[in-house]
Formats: sequence, structure tokens, C-alpha cells
Amino acid sequence: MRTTAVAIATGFLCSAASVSAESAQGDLSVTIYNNNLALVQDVRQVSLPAGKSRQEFPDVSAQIRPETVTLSGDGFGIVEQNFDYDLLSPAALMGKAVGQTVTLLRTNPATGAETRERATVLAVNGGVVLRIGERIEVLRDDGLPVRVIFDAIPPNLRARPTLSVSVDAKSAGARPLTLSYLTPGLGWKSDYVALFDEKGGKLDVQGWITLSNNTGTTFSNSKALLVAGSVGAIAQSPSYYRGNGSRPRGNTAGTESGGGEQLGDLHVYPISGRTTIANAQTKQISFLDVAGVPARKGYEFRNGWLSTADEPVSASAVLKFSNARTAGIGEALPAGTVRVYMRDSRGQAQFIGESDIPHTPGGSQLAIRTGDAFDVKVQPVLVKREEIAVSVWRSYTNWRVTYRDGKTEESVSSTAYTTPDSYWRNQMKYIVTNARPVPVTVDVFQSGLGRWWWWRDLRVGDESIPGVQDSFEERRWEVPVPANGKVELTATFLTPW
Amino acid sequence: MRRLFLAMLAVPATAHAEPAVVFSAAPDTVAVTLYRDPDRNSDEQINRENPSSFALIAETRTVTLPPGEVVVRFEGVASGIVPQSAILFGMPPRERNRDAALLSQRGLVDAFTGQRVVLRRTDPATGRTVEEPATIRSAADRMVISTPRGTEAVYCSGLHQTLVYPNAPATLSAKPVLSMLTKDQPGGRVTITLAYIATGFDWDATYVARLASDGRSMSLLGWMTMASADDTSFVDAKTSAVAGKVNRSDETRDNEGTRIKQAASSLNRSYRCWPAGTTSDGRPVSINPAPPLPMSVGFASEDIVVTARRREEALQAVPIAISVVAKAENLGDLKLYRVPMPVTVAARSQKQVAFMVKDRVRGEVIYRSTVYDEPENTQTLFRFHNRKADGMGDPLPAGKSVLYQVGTHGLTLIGEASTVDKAVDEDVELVFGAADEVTVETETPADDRDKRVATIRNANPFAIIYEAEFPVRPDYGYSGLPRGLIRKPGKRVWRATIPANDAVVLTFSISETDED
Repeated sequence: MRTTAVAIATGFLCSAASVSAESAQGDLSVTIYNNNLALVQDVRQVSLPAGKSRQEFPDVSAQIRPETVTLSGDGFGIVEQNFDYDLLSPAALMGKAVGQTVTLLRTNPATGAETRERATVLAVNGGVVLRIGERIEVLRDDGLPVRVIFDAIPPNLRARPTLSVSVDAKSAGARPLTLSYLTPGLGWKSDYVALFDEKGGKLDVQGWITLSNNTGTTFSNSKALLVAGSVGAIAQSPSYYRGNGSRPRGNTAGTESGGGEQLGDLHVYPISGRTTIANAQTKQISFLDVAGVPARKGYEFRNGWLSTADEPVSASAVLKFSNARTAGIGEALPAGTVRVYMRDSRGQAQFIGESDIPHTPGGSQLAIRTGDAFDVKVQPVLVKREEIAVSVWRSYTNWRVTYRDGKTEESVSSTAYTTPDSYWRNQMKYIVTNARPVPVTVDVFQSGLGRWWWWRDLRVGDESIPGVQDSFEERRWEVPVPANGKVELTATFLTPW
Repeated sequence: MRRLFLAMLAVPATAHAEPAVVFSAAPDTVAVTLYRDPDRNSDEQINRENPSSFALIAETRTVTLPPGEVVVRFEGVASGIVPQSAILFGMPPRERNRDAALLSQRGLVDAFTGQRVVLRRTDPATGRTVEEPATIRSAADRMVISTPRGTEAVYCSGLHQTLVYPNAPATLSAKPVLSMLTKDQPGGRVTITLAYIATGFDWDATYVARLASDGRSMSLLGWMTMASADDTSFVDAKTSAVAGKVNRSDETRDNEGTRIKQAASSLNRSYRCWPAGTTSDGRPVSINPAPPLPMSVGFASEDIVVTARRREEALQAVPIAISVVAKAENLGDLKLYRVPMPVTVAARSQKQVAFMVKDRVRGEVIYRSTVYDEPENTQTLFRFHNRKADGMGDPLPAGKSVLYQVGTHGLTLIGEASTVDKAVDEDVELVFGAADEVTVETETPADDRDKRVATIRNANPFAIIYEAEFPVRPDYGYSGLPRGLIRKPGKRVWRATIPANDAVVLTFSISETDED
């Protein structure tokens, strides 16, 4: 082992103190997927002797998934692949030295004089038991300094986890070997910076790919390819699911292809040139820079069934734009976080909120919630709820709601579900206030209108602004509010619950 | 010898033209905008040790660049930087990086694994040092080296020995560092604006209110309380705070930099030593972090002095003299409060600047009960309408208020209240306590189980305004209520003046449906 140590030391001197030049990596190409997974391909020039030999591959990812390793090249066959992760430590070294001889160097604390002895390690069980000549001693039980010198490092104790492959080569000689494997710890996502000009109704969007490397290994000077979309994500946690309910209204998936590369269903973002992805590094590479995308702001407020608020509640501020070609973007937007900025009165960009977006195909409409509006509020109030006779209910037939599918009611087998014998008239009022010096329009939603999944006979007695039945569950009104003004929206719902 | 061969081969691959590195040591000017934690309720205080919100930090830096592709390293950024939030104006970069590989014992050992260093041993008796070449074979918390004598463990021998490294690798830095790689550019002097989000900040609006002795008005003083737990002090920063709720993404709650720093500083060198059979060589305890700097309000200009003390005779008390008041402006749907002069946002500190001074906000003190089945216990509150005509008319960010009143014994604390964000033209109610001197007693006559007879008694030596609120309920209503109820959104209110040391009676019935 000593020769190896010297060899490395010489290598160090040759490469003129440049630490990164020490890497044993060859020609690297890295394909990084969204879901913390990367495919690494490493082409190394290796000189194989004829016959069986064991080849070590240092500087692979410390988080390598060894079962995914493949080694390819000409003129050899693989005998076995090993991944050794028994790490070299003083305790492991002593444990492996049981039954062997080590050298003890004692220093006299008073005089500094050194004495040298050979000792046999008998056991390492809470104290190292040694035989020195005819004596049995416990190492450093007296607290005095003792240097223990081992003759060699056992071959499978490693500084870092190490991959080795035993090969059987037909002939000796140098040749390129391609090592490929999957590793977690290398992932990417996108981050968007959107600078919103409210007066001009414009948005400047920059897209950044954010690469992060927590593999414990630096990938030097590699070709990099980013793939948007999750690959083989079988164990995806349900918390990633984003239902439509949590996103503001106005998100519609598009059908444009955009100018980017695709790999089947997946979008591919090659990085031009070679890049070094250092360990513990977060690297960002620009992939989108568009100015003047038309954008507008909206407000929305959702109310639960029969919910009354004690005081006015802020509406959500929603930013709406499109990534269609006509809007200036014309690209699919990989999943990521959109951070929205606005300039303050002195022209400094200030942060006004952020929101996550899913993979968004080209030509989509986006609506992202940036935060709550300080000055635009809604106070929902239950004005009156009273039971009505079945005859009164019948008199409201003309007020049946027309659903999106054009139906006014759904024929559900009345034999399976009994007809209700009591009905209710619920009068709601929504006080929408605007303390801003400009008029606004607030989308007010009332949910809870499809409480019984089989009941499709909602009747809305009267409403001060015509509403739209967005779904069985929700009705929406677009309420225009003048500057520094107040509008009261009223609606009466007739329900059997 | 095989490894040497590989190393030699790898050299040409990495030896392409490395871009020049330019250091930007500190910003020329810095602006700090603090955001209130959107998840913190209006009555919750700032966690000063670990502020849960964030700040936007905008810096301008001037650097002189050589032509070509250049790496610019930004030093002195906030330690809580969220690298993916950074934006750069003035120099569109090809890529930008946040390197968190830290210069530490662990970092040095990792960088020099497999390489030659020097082992130095000091003889404590004579002071003589011995140096010998060594090669690092393992990581910092399980250090094994090879010396010409063989293989040994550095930190398990009990000797006074250490490793001496030939240099500090350029890839390691004292703090997580943000850098950018420019595109091919002509070079020269460039001004770059760098803006980023950093975690570990928070702010709160705190109000000090003094109620006039007649209870018809109060003075209101609003403070911006700003907290920073960051390691970096921002000297003479343009400071502002944003009120209102911003939407947050979990992706921005990034504490990777902090985590790496903690990992680097928690190195136990003897953790993987072989059993020593004795506890006599215990490790010294870790050194405590430096004490926080004292809170400082560093006024940049000397000419700001307390010029005049406004005296409000009606309040019978000396108001607090405020010479600097933050200015409010609209920022989209949020409110921005700007401190008018540069101040220092010191590392790990809290500071306060006034943002609202109102001498006389007209309103009234109300004693209120909410009626569910019967009137509940009485609360005391001060209610005002947020408009100019009544002495207010400014947005009121969420926060806590402390209410004082000057009585015969001087200034007295009468309670604490909290409010959510209140826009102009809204009613604001500061509920500052339970009223013990105003009691409610409700009886149900034996012959009518739905009837309620409530007697409200005022034990105070002054008349009060009492309000009973009947909220509209989906499940039941009220009948037989007195006439002249005030209609408010979602409720009807019975309002009465109760003279000093007197009582009033309120009767009503509970009913399934409301016949009103």
C-alpha cells in the first residue's frame, strides 16, 4: 500500500496544487431528472491487463445506486461488481487488526524519549487488549499517549464508498470504458422571476434552472442534460398532489409545442458547453428571458356553505398571464416556483409573493396566487335561513340552476334516494369593499352547493349580479367595485340541506 | 501506479481556460425589506431567537471586470440567503452558483484526502516539534493517515499532533458564497444590483394607545418592530417593511446554508477512535458563539434631532416625542413602510422605528356581550372607524396594541388587544379586556322555557354604552326583541346607555325560525 500512497503524492505534485485536477473522472455526461435522480455516464481511459483484474472507480457519486451500474467497453467480460462501503476509521482499523501485530510507540511525557514495542491485538471489546511480549495490557488505560502504527490498511476499508469491477480481458491495453449509473442527490427544478408592471399590464419573466448537488461528489467539466417531468416516480408521495381547488381559477392547460426539444413526453433542456457541478453547490442557469408578457391582476374570494365572517376578510390577489406564443413566451414551463416582484415608488424591485406551478405545457393560461389583498375585502354574511314548505319549493322551479353541461337537473333514480320532505331558503350577502384608488373586479365564489352528491336541483332564488355555475359545487359572481367603494352582492339559495 | 495514471489522464480534460475570478467584498449600498410571517397570527409575537419570516435584500456592487468570461464572487451576503431567489440586474449572467463547501477542518480533510500533508507533533516537555510527511486516508471524523512508518490514527494517540496543509483550496469558502459566471463581455467597471430573499427575519406592527379620560378618543403610536437573526449586519441600509400577507412556497424555506454550516461546525474528531479504556482524555466543550451585538439605531445623518414635543392638552399626558416616522406607500396589493433615513440592521438584533403617530383618534368605549343562548360575559373595547374625519384614515397593519389611560394615579395599563390587517374605511375594534364591573345575569321564567330575561348591571361610577349583539344563526333565531335594533352585517345590535350604578333589563325569546 505504501507505493500507492507515494504515487498519489507524486500525482499531487504534478497537478500543481489544483485540487479539482485530482478527480479520476473521465469524460462525463449527466442527465438530470426533476425528481432528485440523475443518470451519470463516465467514459474513462483504463489500461487493462490480460486476464482477470480488479478495476476500481473512484470519484463516482457517494450516493451511487450500485445495482444500476453498467460498465461497457471492448474486449472484456465482467466477472463481478462490488460496492465497498466499509469506511476506514480508527475503530474499524483496530477491529480488523485483531490477531495481528502492530507497533506501539510510547513517548515519555517528562523526557520526550520514545520507546518502541511490537504488540499483538487480542480483542477490541470496550478497551483494546494487547499482548506485549509476555504481558497483557489494555491500550492507553493509563491515559498516557501511545502511537499505534499499523503495517497496512486492510484492502476493503475505504476513505469513501468505492465501486470496483472485476473484469476478464482478452488482451492487455488501454481502452475507453463507459461507466453508467443512477444516483440520487442530484436534482433540478425551475425558478421564475416575474417583474410585474401593474400600470402597463406587463410581466417580464426570467426562467432559471436550479441544479443542486448533494451527492458528496463534484462532477467536473461535464455535459449536462436536464429532463423535465418525473421519471419512474412510482413512490410519489400524495402530498405532491395539487387539486384544482387549491389553485386559483383561470388555469387552463395549453396545447402548444414550443420550440424546445422533447424526448417522448418529456421536455429536454441541454446546457450549452461543459459545466462543473460542485458538491454542495446550487447552480442556476438561465433558460428563459422574456419581456412584456401581457398580464393582469384579479381578486378572488371563496366562501364555505353558510359561513359568516365577523369582520371583512382579505380577497386573494391573483396574477394571470399566458405562456402562449402570442403572449411572447411560447415555451413549456417546467414545474417550479414563480416569484413575483414589483417596483416600488423609488424603482426598487420589491417581492410581492410567490407560488408553485406544475409542469405547464405551452399555450396554457396561468393564474397564480401572490398573496392577500390588504385593501380588497369581502365579508360574507348569512342574512336569513328559514324552512320553506314543499309548495314554496315547487314555486321556485323556474329558478333552477343551469349547470355547465346544459342540464338543469340530473335524473337520479328516485327509487334509490328518497325525495326530501323539508327545504330551506338561505339568504346570503357578500359585502365587497375596495379601499384602493382604482376600481377592481372580485370573483366571489360560494361553495357547498353540491353537498349531496346525488342531488342536482339547486335553485337560486334571486341574485343581485348574475352568477355562473362553475361546477355542481361552486357558483361564481364577478363583482365590479368602484375605487374606494363598496358593493353588496346578495343571493338566495334554495336547498334541501 | 494505476491511480497516478488516471489522475494524469484527467488533467487535460479539466485544463481548459479557467475564467478569471473577481471578488466583490461588500456592497456599496444595501436595501433591506422585511416581510411579516404570513402564518403568524396577529396576537403572536416575533420569535426573536429564530424569526420565522424573511427579508428581500437588494445590494448594489461595483466591480471591475477583465474581458471575457468572468466569475464574480459576492462576499458578505446574508447567511440565510435562498440562492434560487437571487436576481441580478446590470449583468446578465451565464450561470450563478451558491457554493456551500465550507473551509473547515472537515472541508480541509475532504479536499486533501489522498494527498500529502505534514504531520506536526509537539513534545509538551521540551516544546520541540517534529514534522513528518503524511497522506490522508480517511475523513475528518475518522482520521487515518499513512506515514513513512505505517498507518496510524491522528487523534486517538493522546499526543499533541496536528496536520499542516500546503494551502487553502480555492473551492472552499468561509461562508456560503454566491457567485456568477458572466457571458463573454468586454470588461470594465460594472455596477451590479443583486436582490435575493434571506430567511431569519421578521417584523411586527406594535401599537401603543393612550385612551383619553373621557373614553371618546385615544392617541395611537405605531412601531415597526424588526428582528434579524442573520450573521451579517447591514450597515446604513435603506430599510422598509411590507404589511399584508404574501403567498409563500415551501421551496423558499431553504435552510441548506445553515444546515451545512452546522454540520461543518459539529465535528467530533475522536468519535470513531478505538476504545481508549479511560475517560481521562475528554474533549473540551465547544466554544459558545460570540454574544450578539447590542441593538443599535445608527442614524446616518446627524441633523435629525428631537425638535419639538407635541403636547396634547386634552390627553393630560406628555406624548412620546417621535422625530422619525416611516412613510407608507402602496406596493401592488401590499403596503410598504419605508424608514426615511438609512439605518443599520445589525446581526442578531431587534430594532423599532415609528410608522404611525395619531394624536386623537375619535371613537368610543363599548361594553359588549354577544348573545348565543343568553348574553355572554361583557368585554370592553374601543371602537373607531378608520377615516380621516375621525383622526385616522391610514392602513393599520396586523399587530398587538397596548392600551394605557392616564388616571388619578398616573399612567395605568388597561389592557392588550390585537388586530388583523385593517384597510381604510373599516371599523376597528380593540378588545382590551373583560369588564368585571359590568355584569350580566340571565333568568328563564318557569312558565316559558324559551324566554330570557337578562339584567345588565353597571357598578361603575360613570355611565356606559352597552351593546348586546344577536348574530344571525343558521339553526335558530330570536323573537320578542326590543324595537330599534341596529342592523350590522350578520347581526343585530341592541344598544343602551346604562347610567352610573344602575341596571337595565333585556327580554327576548329563542325560536327555531325567525319571524322578524
